[in-house]
Formats: sequence, C-alpha cells, structure tokens
Amino acid sequence: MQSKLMNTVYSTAKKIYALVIMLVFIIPNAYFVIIGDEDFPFTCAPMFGHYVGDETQFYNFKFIGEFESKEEFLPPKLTNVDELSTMRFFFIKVYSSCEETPPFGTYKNDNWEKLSNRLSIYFKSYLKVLAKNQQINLADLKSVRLEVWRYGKDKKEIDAKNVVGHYDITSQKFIKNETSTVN
Amino acid sequence: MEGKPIVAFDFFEGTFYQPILLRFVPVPFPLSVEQFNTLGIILFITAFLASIGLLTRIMLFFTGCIYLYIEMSYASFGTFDHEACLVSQLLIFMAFAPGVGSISLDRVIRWTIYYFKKKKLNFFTYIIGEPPVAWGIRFVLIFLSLIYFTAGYSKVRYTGWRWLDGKTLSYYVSGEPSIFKKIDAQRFISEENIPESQKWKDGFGVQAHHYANFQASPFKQNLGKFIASVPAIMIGLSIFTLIFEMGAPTMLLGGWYRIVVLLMAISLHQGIGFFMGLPFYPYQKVCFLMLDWELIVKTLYKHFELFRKLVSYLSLKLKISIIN
Repeated sequence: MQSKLMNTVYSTAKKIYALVIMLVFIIPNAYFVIIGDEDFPFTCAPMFGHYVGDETQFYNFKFIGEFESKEEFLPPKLTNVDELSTMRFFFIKVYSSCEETPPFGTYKNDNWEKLSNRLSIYFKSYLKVLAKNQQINLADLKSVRLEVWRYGKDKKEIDAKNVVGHYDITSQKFIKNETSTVN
Repeated sequence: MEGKPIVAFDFFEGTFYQPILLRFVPVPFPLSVEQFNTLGIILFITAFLASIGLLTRIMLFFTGCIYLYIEMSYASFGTFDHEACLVSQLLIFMAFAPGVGSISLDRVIRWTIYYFKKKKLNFFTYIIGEPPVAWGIRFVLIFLSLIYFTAGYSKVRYTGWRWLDGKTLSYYVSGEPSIFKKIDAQRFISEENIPESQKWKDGFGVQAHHYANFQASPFKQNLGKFIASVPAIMIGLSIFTLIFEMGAPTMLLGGWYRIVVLLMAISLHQGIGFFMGLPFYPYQKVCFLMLDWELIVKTLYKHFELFRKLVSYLSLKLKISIIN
C-alpha cells in the first residue's frame, strides 16, 4: 500500500517536473512570438518578413563629419564590429523603425525628444570609439550630420536626401534640422 | 557559432544594449576583452566535456549558459544570431531532460566501477541506458514547431499574403542584398504608402533593415540570379515556404507527419544555404536527430530483408535488443 502511494507520488512529481521545465522555456518564447518582438534568445523570427517588391523604397543612413574646413563621411562600422551589426544596432536600438510595433524592439510613444536623447548618447559613444580606435582623425570636428538617403528605382543612384539633424560636439546634443525636407 | 570567431569587443555605453535576460540575471555585463576571451576558452572546454559525456548534465548546463551569454553579447551590439536562439536554449534544456546521460563517459566509468565490484552488466545495454522519455522529445518538437510557425506568421504579420507573390524571396535569392557589396551593404526599406504620421523623423519613414545574402560562390550566386528571374519558381518556393512554416506544428501529430515536416525543414535550410549562404546547420542537425527513428527502423525492418539481417547480426554481437 505504502509502496503504491510512493509510486503515485513519484510519478506525479515527475510529471510536475516535466511540465515546469517545459513551461520555463516555452512561456517566454511564446510571449515574444505573440507580441511580435525579439530580444535574444527570444525571437518572433522576423527574417525576410517585410515585403520587398517593385515599389519598395531603399534607404541608407549617412554620418557626415563637419570639420573646420571640410566635410567627410564617418565610417558606418566600428572596429571589430562589421557594418551590418553597427548599422543594425543604430537602426534598431537608437533610431528605431517608423512602425509602431516593429519586431526589433519598440519605443512606446516615441517622439522627437526621446529620439534626440538616444541620438545624443549614441553619437557621443560612437565618436569615443572612433577616437579610441583612431579610425579617423577627429581633430577640428564640429558636428556630425545625420542624413537619410533614398535610392531611386534602380537601387543604385540616390534620388533624395534628408537631413535628420546634427550632433553638436560642444553641447553634446543632437539637434533637429528644422528645415529638413525631401530634396 | 559556426564560422564566427570568438572575439572581444570594446563596449561603450550607447553602442550596445543589455538583452532582457541579463536585466534579470545578476551576472556582470559587459565583460572586458580578457574576460570575454577567457569565457570563450571555457566554452570550448565545457562543450568538449559535454560531448564526450563527462559530468554530462553539469557541462551541458554550463555550455548552454556560456553560449547563451556570448550570443547575448553579440546581440547586444547588433549581431542577432537566430541559429543560436534554438541551440543555446536546447543545451540548457538538455541539462534537465531525461535520457541525456546515455552513451556517455559517465556511464562507462559507472559500468567500470560495477565491473570491479563484480556486478555483471551487459556493457552496451548499460551504456545505452533507458529508452528516451517521451516528454524530452516532445518538448524539442514543440520548440521547433513554435520557431517555424512564428517565421511563417511573421511574414503574414508584416507583409500579408502578398509575400506569396514571390518578389520578396526573389530579392533575397537574387543576391541583391549581398554582404560582399563594397558600399552600403546594409540597406533599409519601407513600403511606398507609409502614413504621414510615421514620417516625423526623416520625412521618409524607414520601416526595417533588410537581411543579407551571405553566398560567396559565384556559381551559386549566378544560379540564384537565374531562378530569381523566373516568377513561377519564386511563387512556388514562396508557397512551399509559407505552407511548411505555418504547418510546422503538424509535426506534433507524430509518425510520418513528423518525418515529412522535419525533412521539409531540412530541405528548406538546404535551399537557403545554397542560395543565400545561410544553411542554419544547427537547425538541420536538430531536425535530423528529431526524425522518428523508431518508426524508420521498424519500417525498414519490416520491408527489407538485408536490413533485418543487419539488425539480427548487431543484436547478436552486441547482445542487445534493437527491435522491440
């Protein structure tokens, strides 16, 4: 009798153990699938999910260093980190998608003030890394202009450029370009 | 981690973010260059010990956790390795799952101890251990179903059924977003009809980054370009992809459903590997291992005389029962 009871307890404990272990893994993964977001190691697998067709517009972000007497493109990659990673990080975690709920992380009620803060922090750090790695001579650098370039239908030539704003080295603030319009 | 060097990065506030798990688990993050490299060496040691089955569960746990941590570090500055999502979690899961101690050095050591204590146990029967418990396998199948299903669901979620027109697939297969482009390898995309309210940042409204094509072979690139130019093939492959991904949970029905769906998964990864250089080998390996091998072996045993002879020979030689 006692042995039968022990067997039942043991068998129930094993079932509970199995259920707990499975749920510990499945619940957070299912949560990210449901909300449509990703944060390693959880993913809603958004790869290749956004439509690319004849009417799709292609863009690029350009960091342009405004020096005392010249303008120069700043590298889109940091040493040790490839261009894809650097620019994806910039887009996903700093600039953020124009969608309200993108699959790469969401900034709720995003506005210019929040974006400006994120860009200020980013450019301050980005320039620090560039200076440390001596990727570019930053002496006489006054500001960094952030532009978005749109490609034409041939996906090669640029057909429009827009200035988002510029990061001012002295004030360490990202300032919106009030006159920004599509060229 | 295949093909990816273990290198350390200079973390500067503002050029990385802290992944969600690391906000809940009190471990130091980010690590210094030296600490990160040391962690890489420890990963190789624990992974080696786990693979030979010495202190199997403990080593699996540490391998999974360290791998997860390293991949989280990569993800923190923009390299989100979708292959590692599955593998890192499965390694940790295996540390708690039944049956992982089978065919391990741990069992060989225990058998040796029994041998010297004069306990007569069949070597192969003891090493193989108990048959795997169903819930461990079921969990892996549920996990795979979830991941494949969400891949299909994301396509419908962000694109709708337009994804079936084959144009998105054609763009990626054609090699246009090749990582080997000298300038502007990473581009960003948006639909043409972005609402004005979403254009406040830049006047355009940028929706997403595109993914990259990693195929380096000129032959495969050219073949990719060719099939990408045939709409019928692209539509067919798009339909196949979406049906497979959204229908992946049917593998939970078991039997031949499981085998067919997992073989479709392997063929899908083979295709993506061929045309885009993204073979997702860890997924292929997991799918291969998760095939219903009991059913396959029983079917072969039933229909092929040569296979029956082979099984009988092995059963006799190893003194174990292969077919119950």
